[in-house]
Amino acid sequence: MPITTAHAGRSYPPLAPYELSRAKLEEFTTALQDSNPAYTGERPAIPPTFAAVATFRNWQQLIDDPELGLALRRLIHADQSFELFRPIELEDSFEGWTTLEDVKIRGHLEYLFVRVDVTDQHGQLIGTSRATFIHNRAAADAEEAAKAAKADAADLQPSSQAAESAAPASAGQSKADGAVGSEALS
Amino acid sequence: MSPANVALPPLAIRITRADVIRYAGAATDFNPIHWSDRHAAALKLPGVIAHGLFTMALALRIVTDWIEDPRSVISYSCRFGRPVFVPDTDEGVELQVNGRVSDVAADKVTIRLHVTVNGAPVLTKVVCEVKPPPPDSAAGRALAAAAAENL
Repeated sequence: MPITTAHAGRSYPPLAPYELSRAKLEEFTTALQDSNPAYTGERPAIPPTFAAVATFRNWQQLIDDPELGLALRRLIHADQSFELFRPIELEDSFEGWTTLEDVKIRGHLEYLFVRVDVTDQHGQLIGTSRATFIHNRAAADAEEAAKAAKADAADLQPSSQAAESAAPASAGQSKADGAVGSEALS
Repeated sequence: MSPANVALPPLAIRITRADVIRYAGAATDFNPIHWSDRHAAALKLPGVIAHGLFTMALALRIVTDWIEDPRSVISYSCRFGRPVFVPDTDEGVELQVNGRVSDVAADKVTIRLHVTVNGAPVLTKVVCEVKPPPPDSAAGRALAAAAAENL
């Protein structure tokens, strides 16, 4: 059941707090090829765009919502804004409060306007992320069609194979066949 | 105070597929359109593209190099106007980043960035707001000099 404009306003409870670490900070600044000395030393600064790492888990909440019928592989990021009310610090532990602020459907493209408010371990707001994502429903339909075609092809297999895979405690190979069969039924 | 119109020192950043995959790991964003041509093709893209957030994060370095203190960043926003295709070559692709101060207020300095690949903008409406840099920093001196010229 795909996403509709009626899903606008839906919000999600925060996940377990995200705790920053020096190792993750180093991975991130290395990935950004950024040797700014501010990111090292006794009290390192955190790149402002690290906020995206904290909010990525919250975006995943939408993708994991079965009612919306989304998949990460079909999402394109259209725009992004970060507003920081104070700098992110190494000792921070984030909670993200996610809201699907709006949904717009344009043909096979589904626009999701997603806000995440990030709070710290004291419940204080650190920053707000606003993102627009475009989900490709045509790609989802193509995946479904390919899956159905595969299922039809499986139906044309000799019936003895289907019977074998349905039998309990069968050998490894036929168990794998059974897995394909159950996927076809779903 | 009037807009200072100060240009930031430009930046060129080269990224390869390995860099994109490193960012995927660091940011935990494993969308396959950033490492699989097959998945990119499913979205009618000609090949693997860099994460928009990766390009956005790389471009911000023009600002943080200039102001020196990344804690000064108040806001940062952009549109991902054009995908950044990253070919499977040793050279990869080069981002060109330019920035200019567009407004100076008592509590913040606004900087607009131009981020291009081969002359075509890949990020658009790129705006970063920072706290005013200390007067004794290079950025602070550049702003003071431009303000003096405007008088």
